[in-house]
Amino acid sequence: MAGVLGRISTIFKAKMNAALDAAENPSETLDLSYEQQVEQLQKVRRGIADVVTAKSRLQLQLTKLQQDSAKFDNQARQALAANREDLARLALQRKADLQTQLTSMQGQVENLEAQQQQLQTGEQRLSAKIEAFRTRKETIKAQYTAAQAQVRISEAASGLSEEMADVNAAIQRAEDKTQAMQARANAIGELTASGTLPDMLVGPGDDLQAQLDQISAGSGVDAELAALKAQLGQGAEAPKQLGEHSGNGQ
Amino acid sequence: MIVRVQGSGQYRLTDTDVQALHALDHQLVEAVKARDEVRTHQVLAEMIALAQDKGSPVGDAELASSDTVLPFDSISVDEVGALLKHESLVGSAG
Repeated sequence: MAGVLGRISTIFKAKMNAALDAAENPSETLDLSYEQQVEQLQKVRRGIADVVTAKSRLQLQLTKLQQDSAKFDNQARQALAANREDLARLALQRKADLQTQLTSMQGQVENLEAQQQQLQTGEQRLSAKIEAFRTRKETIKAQYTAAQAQVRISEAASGLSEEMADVNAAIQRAEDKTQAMQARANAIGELTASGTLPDMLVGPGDDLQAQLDQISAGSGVDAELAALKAQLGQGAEAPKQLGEHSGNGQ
Repeated sequence: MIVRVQGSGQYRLTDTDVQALHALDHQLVEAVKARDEVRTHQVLAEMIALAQDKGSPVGDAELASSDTVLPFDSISVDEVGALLKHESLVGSAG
């Protein structure tokens, strides 16, 4: 049948047969193949541990991004204080965008959590099957002739290597997903740090924070100017006098 | 018949349930052809639920190969499409 079931099963079995080629010689190979499976189980455990670590790192990253969104709040406040509602709106828009991204990623981290749970169950299943194989090989060695043993070993090894392949595929999948999310979190982090989420740019070189800095620098100069004038004894009337003077001249 | 659900183990199904599974498989192919991501996941979820609900889990002490394999429920239309289209996937492995 040409459905998805047929196709994926064929691919799965082809891999299985390749794995089985190693286990051709009965009795002597049995112990060796058991040892190899135990070794592979260690790799599986390390793989799962890596996924768990990567997931925790990702969670930390998301928490930090969450804190970063406070930065946009400050920008909006700063902009409003400077009477620049347009910039305040921009900052709040950025915050909303960041929040949307974060919400979607947090959902994915929860999925990852479920996946991790499944991996751990899978590892336990694999571990139990390897133990079953150990018992089986002793029975096979004791009860069957070499020729008969061959068939039994094939069956058992095939079932076990399928389980192994499945857990490995699941680990690979979780790793890929974690990496993709890590990359996305990094990208968002960089944009947030530089304050330039691309679709919301005011224009090249015209970044929100830069504008706000300019405004506050400008108001700083005004304040200093006023202070200087006060020192020189020119009160608030000084500009007025100038104005009157130029008015008289006309 | 033993069906493996990728990532969640093996289930033993009766012939009737296997037939139902194949009927769903045809729907899955249609959904993938239409590149309908939502429908693809819907059908796949139905297939997985069928295997898990109707089938009995193969015990940990049993070492048997599966007759057929259901992909991960998180698989994308593109990934299923690749399984269906690229003959090389099977060709190179076999």
